[in-house]
Order: sequence, then C-alpha cells, then structure tokens
Amino acid sequence: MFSRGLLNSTRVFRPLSNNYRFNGIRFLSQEIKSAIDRAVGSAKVVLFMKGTPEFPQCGFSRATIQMLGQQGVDPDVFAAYNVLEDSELREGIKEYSQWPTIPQLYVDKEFVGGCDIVMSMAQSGELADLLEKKGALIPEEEPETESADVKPTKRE
Amino acid sequence: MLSRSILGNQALLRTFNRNALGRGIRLMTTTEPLDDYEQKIYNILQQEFQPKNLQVRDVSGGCGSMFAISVESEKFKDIPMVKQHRLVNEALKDEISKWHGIQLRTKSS
Repeated sequence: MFSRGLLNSTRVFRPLSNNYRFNGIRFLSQEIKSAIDRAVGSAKVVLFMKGTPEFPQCGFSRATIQMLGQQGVDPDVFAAYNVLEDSELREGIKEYSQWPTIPQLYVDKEFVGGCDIVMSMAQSGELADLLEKKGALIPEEEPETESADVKPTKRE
Repeated sequence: MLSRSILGNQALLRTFNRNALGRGIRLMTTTEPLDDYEQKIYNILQQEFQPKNLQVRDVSGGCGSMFAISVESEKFKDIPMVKQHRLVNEALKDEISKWHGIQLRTKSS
C-alpha cells in the first residue's frame, strides 16, 4: 500500500545536457547543480537511490526506503530519484552532497545522511522526531472517522 | 523483472556462502588477522583517528568491494554523526570510490 503510494510520487530526473565533462576534468556544472537543487527542493523528503521504491536495486537503498515506510512518511511529500537512470545525477549527487555513497536522504532540503545514519536515527527515534517536526508523516486519522463507526443510540 | 530475480538469487547465494564459510562468525570476532587490503584501510583510519576501537572487515563475500567499518575515537567528541561519517569518508575517499558499498559505524569515546 505504502510502496504503491511511493511509486506514484516517484519523479523521474530529467536528462541533463552534456556539459558535465570539460577537458576530461569532472566538475559539478552550474546546470547540474541547479538541476539537483530543484530535485532536492521538489519534495519535503527526497531520496536519491539505486532503483525505485518499488524495485530497489541495492540493499542499502532497499533498507532506507523500508525505514522511511516504517516511519510513516507521507507519499504526498516524498520523491525518489533513481540515480541508475542518469549517470550525471549519479556522480553529481555525490559531489553535490560531498557524500561518496548512495542512497542519500534529504529532508527539507537538508542533507540527512546515508543508509547507516538513517538506520541509526531510526533506532534512536531521531528520525521520527525530525520527520514529525517537518510535517512529513502521514496525518493521523481524523478522530471523527473512528467515532463514526460507533453509532449513537437514537433518542426516543 | 527477470534480471531482478537473478540478482536476488545471487544475493541469497552470497549470503549463504558467507555463512557457510563462517564469515558471519568472523565478523563478530577481532582475532582473525586482516588481509592486506583490510590492513591498509585499518592503517589509514588508525593514523587519522587514533581510535580506541577500530574494526575493518571485507564483507563483500569475495569481490572485495564492500566493507564494514567501525570507528570509536575521541576525535568524534561533540561532533554530529553526519560530520563523523564525513570525516571517515574523507579519510577513505580514494578507496571508497572504488567500492560498491560501505557500512559505517562511528562512535565518540
């Protein structure tokens, strides 16, 4: 159920132009940087991962997406980018975040960490606090919905 | 779809082999000597962080591109975990870029 929702909100990173390599030296071009800026700002919770939330293609990405699911991240405020679909994104995001591995989690445009950090934060409760504070969790069910199941006795 | 299930099987097989070889147990102990490359990683971290506790294990199951690393150092004191990881990432920059993955645990002592 949740992963379906995640899948629906998955956005595909648009192909970027080839300005990335210049004289054989790799650097983060302004164009790539602003494309990643846009991706990072495209949702409250953004995950750069290998594969998709439905079909993660790496154990670390799988573990991370599962943890976000368990925390109850609202699919409406979540976006995932598959770095395997875009080699510029794959290399660019490492440089952008100054972080050598994927997955990478951003919350509210701020870099949170990779799989190990997310796992450690999930265990300590820090992740739940952060997501809650940023309003990134699925809203609790309205109490009215529950009480609707119990029909009040009709007055005579 | 097909490739995915093949991949899944390989991963299962790797896990199985690893356990069969007793590497799962090896992970828990510090007595087994490090191989040359593990030692190289160990030395880099030893020099950089003078850790109170340091563990480096190749957990790739053979291909040598997945490492489990645990560093406990005074140098991590009062530093947020993201920053601690960044310090280790920076120290191992040249090596990590060759790997598929790293499991990192840092702790201040």
